[in-house]
Amino acid sequence: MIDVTWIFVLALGFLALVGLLIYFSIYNNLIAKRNQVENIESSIDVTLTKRHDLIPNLIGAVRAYMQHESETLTAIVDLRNRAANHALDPAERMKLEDKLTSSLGKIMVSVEAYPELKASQNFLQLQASLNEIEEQISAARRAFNAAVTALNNAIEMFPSSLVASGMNLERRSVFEIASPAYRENVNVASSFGL
Amino acid sequence: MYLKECDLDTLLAELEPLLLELEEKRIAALWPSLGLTALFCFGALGFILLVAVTPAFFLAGESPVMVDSIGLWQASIGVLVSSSALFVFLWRFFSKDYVHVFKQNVIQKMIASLVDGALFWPSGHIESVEFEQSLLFRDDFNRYEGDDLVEVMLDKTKVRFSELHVKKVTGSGKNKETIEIFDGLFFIADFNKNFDFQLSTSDFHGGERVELDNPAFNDLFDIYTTDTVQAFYVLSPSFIERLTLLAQKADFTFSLIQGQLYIAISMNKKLLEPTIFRSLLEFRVYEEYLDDLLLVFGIVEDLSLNTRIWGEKAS
Repeated sequence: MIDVTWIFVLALGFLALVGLLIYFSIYNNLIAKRNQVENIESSIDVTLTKRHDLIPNLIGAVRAYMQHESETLTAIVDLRNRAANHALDPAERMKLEDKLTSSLGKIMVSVEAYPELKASQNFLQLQASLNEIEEQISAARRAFNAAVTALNNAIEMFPSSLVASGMNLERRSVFEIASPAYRENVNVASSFGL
Repeated sequence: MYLKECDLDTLLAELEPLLLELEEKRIAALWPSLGLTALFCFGALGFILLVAVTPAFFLAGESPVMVDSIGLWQASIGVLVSSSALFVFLWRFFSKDYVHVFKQNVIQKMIASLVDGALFWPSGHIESVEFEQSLLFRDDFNRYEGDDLVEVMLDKTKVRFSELHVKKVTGSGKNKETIEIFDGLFFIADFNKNFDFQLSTSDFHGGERVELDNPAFNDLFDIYTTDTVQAFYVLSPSFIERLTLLAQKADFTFSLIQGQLYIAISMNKKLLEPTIFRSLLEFRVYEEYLDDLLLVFGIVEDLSLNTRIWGEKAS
């Protein structure tokens, strides 16, 4: 006859094994989610660097035509140089990038007032490249937000919250995504203050 | 806007002599098909009845032999199914000229009245290689048919579509089983952004599921992709919104592969086929053709595929 104690020990061992498997499954899932956030974060960096590389060419192409916008153009170059500094605090850097997006948007809207510039093939090509990069930045930020939301949900929801607290995982903040004014159809009237 | 205003009244007035001629052809093809089918159907049913009743007649007075009623019903249903197949065969045989003339003249002119420069091949279809490349259907197939291939440049977007009927048939005789893979309209268009990854609403080898930032869209489609960030790039918020709106008009799945947008629209009817039982002189018939064509040609506008402001595809 099997001793009742042995049955109890075996049942306990079985439960411990199941518990361990669940723990590792949740642990791996949280690691995958954290890595996904980090991967996408590096994609944002890549697209922002692409924009930094494009800006000198763009400014070079428009400066001769847009003499009335020289202050904005200088501000863009300054913002670009400061944002390209990787030693900067990430939050501070993102603020600069947002300002850069906004300033580039203003310049692209102002282009409507310069017909010669709009006719330049070189400028049109640079504008299309900028549009693409802006769309990629926006996409990377949206993907980042989706990955962060999934991670945050896992961190807060039971039972993964128990495992997450043991791993010292913390909630991440999502980006506020602003749509650059010039990406879709440019409102000509607004550029003339109408 | 690449779509022209189609004045159906004027178009039908122009086509009237041809439509009268085609209506005669339709009737001329319909009656022999119906007549021969009816002959077969009643003949076979009569024969079954005869076989069923005869033993009972000869054995009357002795222990009555009842006809196996289940067998009788099965045989009768078999005759009706065979009759339908016979009708389809006869109709195809007798209506060849009618269908050919109708598509080459009426459908061709309807397409030309909507868009410029369209090429139409009534017996052509999207190739099976492209169907497989779309990554929309995982199952193997061994029956691949289609017709009504249209190719046209809609402003900046090259578009091709055709009807497709794709099946997998296994076994033979009583064990024959037909699995429908796709039945409907298959649409291919140049996409307006550059990309070099794969995305499909169907799970595929190497693809990972991704949740987009639009709950209504996530309820409609499961998205699988080889690159999460690029998926967000091609599926911009406005494009997602447009796909969601298009889903209210048609039941479809889609994929984005190597710069091409593939859309498979399931349909429970044959597209652009001439009528069999309805008169060709009914106005409503042409409104339906027009609605179908507008739905397909309208996809480029609905999804804003002519907006080309990104990178190399900008013009």
